[in-house]
Amino acid sequence: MLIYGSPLINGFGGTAGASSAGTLIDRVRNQARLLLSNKDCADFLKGLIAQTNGISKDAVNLDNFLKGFDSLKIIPTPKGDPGVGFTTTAHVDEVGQGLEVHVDKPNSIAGATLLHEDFHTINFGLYDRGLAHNIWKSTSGAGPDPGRFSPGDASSYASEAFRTHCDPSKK
Amino acid sequence: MNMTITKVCFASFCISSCILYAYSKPHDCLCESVSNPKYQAMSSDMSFPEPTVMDIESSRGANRIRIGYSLGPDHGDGISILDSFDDGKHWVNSSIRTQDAYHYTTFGSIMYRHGPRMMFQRSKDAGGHWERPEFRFNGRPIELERGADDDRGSRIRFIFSAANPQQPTTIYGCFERVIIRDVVDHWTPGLYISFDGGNNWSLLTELVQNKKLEEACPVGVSPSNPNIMIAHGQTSVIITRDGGRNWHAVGGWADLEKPAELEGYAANLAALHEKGLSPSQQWPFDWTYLRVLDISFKPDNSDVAFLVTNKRIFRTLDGAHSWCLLNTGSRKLFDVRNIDIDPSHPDRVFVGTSFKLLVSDDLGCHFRTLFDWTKYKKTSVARGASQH
Repeated sequence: MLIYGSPLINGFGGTAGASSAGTLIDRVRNQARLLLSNKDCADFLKGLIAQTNGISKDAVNLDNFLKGFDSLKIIPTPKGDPGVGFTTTAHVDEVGQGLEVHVDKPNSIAGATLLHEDFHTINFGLYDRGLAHNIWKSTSGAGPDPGRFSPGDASSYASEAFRTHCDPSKK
Repeated sequence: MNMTITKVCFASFCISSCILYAYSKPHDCLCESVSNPKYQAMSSDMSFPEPTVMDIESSRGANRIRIGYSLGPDHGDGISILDSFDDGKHWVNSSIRTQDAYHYTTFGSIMYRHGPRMMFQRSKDAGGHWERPEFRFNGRPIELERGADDDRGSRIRFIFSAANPQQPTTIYGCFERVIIRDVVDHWTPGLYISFDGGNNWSLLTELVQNKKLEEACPVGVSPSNPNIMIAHGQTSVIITRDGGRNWHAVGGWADLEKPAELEGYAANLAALHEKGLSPSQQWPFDWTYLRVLDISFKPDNSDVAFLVTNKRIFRTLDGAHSWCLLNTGSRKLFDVRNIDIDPSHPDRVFVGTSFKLLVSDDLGCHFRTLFDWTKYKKTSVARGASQH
């Protein structure tokens, strides 16, 4: 996921050590949970899950989504983890495998970041192009299919959609 | 002698010794069965430096290898060009280029590229001037997309596939209808051919369509016999031996198409179930099925070909009757990104992965690292060199 800022966490600043990074992650994790009560975010997630699972939006139960999200192990990127390609805010080492999310930049993550990463874990098994494609299909479907974009551009498209729809400043 | 080997570019043919020692020592070759390999899934972000060979210049016994790698989104997706004069032991910065000045296909003075806004262009003077072909189908102009921000209800996208190395104005590509809003449409998607560098097009086959994410419209044309081509059809890898009139599935196609088994997935799934959770999607994920990224033939032997895929590189030595899987050092899906064969040493194969450029002198039986981005980045930062 490419970097984007969040007004909620910009105030923490500084370089986080392991424990403060953990505290930051916990706060943002809680922010992500609260976003499920945000109408726009909930609607966006329902549409995306419906598209991914090939079911109707009405059949999506966000309680199940929350259960899966709560099972994630979200930790600062361990020492020695080579990470992915270029700079990321958070990443999943292997798409569709396990429940671990590694946070590269604890000061830069937002709730939307963690919701995005959940779709890369074993809970959904989507990679960025697949995720971008499903977002595109489940929202407007306007413009070109971002599933055909470069990996970086597909990631940006997905991040932007999560940031727009899962904005904690919106009620 | 200056030989460009970006993709298939064999305008300057060289005499090859063509001694395939790999044939006589199959037991020494690190090429495994395609039936049951295990893989690791790729990471969530797939933007990588992806080093690739740009050209090799041989002059009086000295070689210059020129490579390029992506600088990433923080640097406008520019390409850093490096040169080595000692077979990869040392690399020196050469220049920075934009993407469209990097991804092109060369046949002597004739060049093709997807230029600014992914518009397909050709050059007849080795890149001095670029122009857009006229794109006509049955004498009528084809209304192509006008760029990434084109949001008309329906438009046609062109994806360049390959050119005939012996007659480079004969080119192949896929046309597909991109429907943004509901429209009535009678366009036939498929692989098309043009004999005049892209002005006039006709349908070659509907078997090849650009429908899979992560796969463009890959076609490989044998430089020694351009009637032989390999492509990825909708259900299997296919081959033609008559210039595209008839296609049939390659040998062992079912094993090639099988979804990649993921190491440790069963245990991870069981652990999830123990927690009372069920994943929304389960293996086989769509990205575990075969995705062909590039196809290359050995310049002097149409029986030898390579498929660059999400599942590493498959090689045939017997005209696509059987395949084996080359060992490129990583079991990650989508780790291998590109392949180039040295036209002056046709047993010499360059393979670009996410972070490394590998080279083999025995048609892929054994690889060594020619360039490692992670090491290069560390050393260039240590000596304070600017990489961009």
